[in-house]
Amino acid sequence: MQAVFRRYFGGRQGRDLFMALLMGGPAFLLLALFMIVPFIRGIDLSTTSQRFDGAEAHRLNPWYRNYDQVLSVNLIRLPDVPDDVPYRAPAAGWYRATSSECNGCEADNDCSITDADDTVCQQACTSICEQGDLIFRWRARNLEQVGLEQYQDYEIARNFAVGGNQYAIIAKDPLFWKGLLNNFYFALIVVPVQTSLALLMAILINQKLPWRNVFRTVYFSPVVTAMVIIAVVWKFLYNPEFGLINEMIQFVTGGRVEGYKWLQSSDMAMPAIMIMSIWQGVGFQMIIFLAGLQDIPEDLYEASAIDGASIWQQFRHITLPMLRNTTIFVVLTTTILAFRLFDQVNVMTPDGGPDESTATMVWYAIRRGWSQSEVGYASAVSVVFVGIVLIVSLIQRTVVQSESALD
Amino acid sequence: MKALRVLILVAIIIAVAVPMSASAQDKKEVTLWFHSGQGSERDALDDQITRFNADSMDYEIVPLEVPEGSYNDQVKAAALAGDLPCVLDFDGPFVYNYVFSGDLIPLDDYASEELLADVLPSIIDQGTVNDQLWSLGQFDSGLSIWANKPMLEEAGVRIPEGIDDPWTLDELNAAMDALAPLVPEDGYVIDFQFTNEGEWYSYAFGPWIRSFGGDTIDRETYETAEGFLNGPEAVAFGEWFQSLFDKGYATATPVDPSADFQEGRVPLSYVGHWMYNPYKDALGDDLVLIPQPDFGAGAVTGMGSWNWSITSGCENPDGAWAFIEFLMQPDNVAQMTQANGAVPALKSVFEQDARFSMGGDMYIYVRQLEGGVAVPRAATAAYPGIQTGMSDAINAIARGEDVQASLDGAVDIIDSAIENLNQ
Repeated sequence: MQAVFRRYFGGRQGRDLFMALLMGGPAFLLLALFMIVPFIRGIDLSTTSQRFDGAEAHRLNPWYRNYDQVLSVNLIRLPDVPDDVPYRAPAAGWYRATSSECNGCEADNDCSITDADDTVCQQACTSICEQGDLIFRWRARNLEQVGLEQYQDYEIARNFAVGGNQYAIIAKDPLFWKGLLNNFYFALIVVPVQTSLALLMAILINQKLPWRNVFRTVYFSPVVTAMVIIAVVWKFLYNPEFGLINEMIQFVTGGRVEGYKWLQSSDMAMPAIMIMSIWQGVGFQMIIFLAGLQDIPEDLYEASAIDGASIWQQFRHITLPMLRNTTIFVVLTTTILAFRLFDQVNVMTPDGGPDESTATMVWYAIRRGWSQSEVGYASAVSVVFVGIVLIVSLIQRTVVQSESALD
Repeated sequence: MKALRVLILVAIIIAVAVPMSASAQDKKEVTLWFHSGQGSERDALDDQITRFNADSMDYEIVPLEVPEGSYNDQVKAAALAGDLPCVLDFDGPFVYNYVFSGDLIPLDDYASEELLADVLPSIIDQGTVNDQLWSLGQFDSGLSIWANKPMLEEAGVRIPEGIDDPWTLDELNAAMDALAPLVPEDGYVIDFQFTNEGEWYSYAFGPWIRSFGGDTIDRETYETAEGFLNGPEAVAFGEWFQSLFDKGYATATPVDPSADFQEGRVPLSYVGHWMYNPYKDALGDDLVLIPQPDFGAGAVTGMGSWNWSITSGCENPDGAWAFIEFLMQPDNVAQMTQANGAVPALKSVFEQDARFSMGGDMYIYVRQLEGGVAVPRAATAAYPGIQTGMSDAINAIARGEDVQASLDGAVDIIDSAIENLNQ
């Protein structure tokens, strides 16, 4: 035993290794206990039909069935849009979404039956109805009517037109892909905006202004408040009828802008969550930037001032390069936090938002595993998700390293 | 200083020793979980547990209160971990799920015929799976529209006498048209309790879809929702429902809808029995219950509520049954339903209760339950899928998304839940 110990941990280097293991021990242990072991268990569960409600589980056949379900995507060409698009949905195929205004129009006796000759009325009716979006109705058992029966296991994730032809991305689990895209959308906007805003605020409160400690506290206070509480409050702020934010928009614009249906419209729901998340999280990055700023030696600025550098030149050539490592840290952590998006989504749009526009990966895994009891399937979703985040982080690291960080 | 230390030591010894000596009797412990619902409901149950423990020579109930929002999920998690308590309560439709998973034992050998003869048929229906009885509840739910009587009278709207002359769809539409000019500027015509999450949407709007001629699932085979939840009848419901939001008659983003009704900003509130006590306090004799409208295929309402079962891992099923039997005693059922406004599960109790007798405030609930208006929720272990699908679809329709596409989405969710169940 002693000999073994000496063989590995003897000498100066060995002692260092021993100390390193000793110091790192608790962290490694916790990491193994709460990250690695559950993850391995998750991989195992993802190949079973495990449910949450205690029903008997068995290994899937084939074992990758869940993964096939999660990952299968295909791009296909849809049938052409007919000249006369029906307003009533067919068993499968194209129809036009109708507003209830249009429904009333169709059913309106004045227009379509008694005054059938009233072309003005009918034209008005038609123009209302034709504003509806084109929707391709995809029902597995009716697909043979439109010649797509080989894709019965799939559902439509998104359809689009290129040069007059209609295409669709189809997936066996479209909600997974929507969630993934939403995650990327969120990260793509929030990471740069939040990082630059945090830098700006850090520079601002780093000035020798009166009351600056008050501002630091004010900017930082959302970070220490629980996200769930903030999300509940912002849900009220975003209320389209009574919310403070719309009231303010109406007040500032003198009533010219009605305000938005924030969390109730598919265009605005994700931006609404982004705004709130940036507001909540920016204080944290600001504090890190502030620490970075205070590490920059004052003489650099003095020297450059003597050389006649402008404020912008100082920022561009001293502040930014000196904050390089801080920025890398902030961008990496913000990216990972952005992919973890769940709390605010689950509180503000528990059903995944209009048209699933705020569904995210973590939200989806919990919905399948927790609410719908499908633990095996949710495990597969989580494993794929971890893989994707890992790839994103590795890409980010490679990009950063190729630009060589300062030591 | 030293005296203080001694004092603290003595205090600690007393604090540890006293409860130990109190529980040192030879009573067998029976663990129990229940959802923490309304405050008054909780108080009533707490009182009943205390009295049971004081009376019983053999058993001691050890209760644990779990927050309602995630109650069913927590029970499922405990089932997976093998940590279920001896007795637990759960919301009606989950009985299929638990029976399917083998978590419960049937009550047939315990329940006396005398007791069962007094229990409301709807409670027996709810607890029966595969011809065996698995659960019993102290009360059933009542669901239809609460209305503000003076506002209806001002608008000249007919108030139905009972379940035999419900509003038709046209009458309901006309009533809303007539009420619209009367509501204050910060009000609306009908409240649908959109602050709820989860099960409310399938419980409340499943019956309306059925009344339009659709349903949330094929009730013959329980193998698909295709053609039922997205057929022309369900679409007709969706388009009508969406039009209420477009006209501003209803809102999908209320802040406190119950307060809106209590303070006279909304004349109609579609909600269950659990709002009876607060509504009655606010409106007094101006509160009137409107039976479920007949949307074409007959009036339909929901039913089922929280009920009690014994788990298969229970070591003292006799003790568990003793407690459930205690809960089902007429006095205890009456105490509970006084507290929460629900329909008592025992005929002998609601026949004595003025609120549920002819001419009483909630007589319509009893008539709906006895008169075949009430329909149980879909008897399938895929019910969580129906819950998710309906919640998504009803919210999407209220937001103004395409009705057919929203209902197709719900069918996809339900059918995939069924498929995963049979995997």
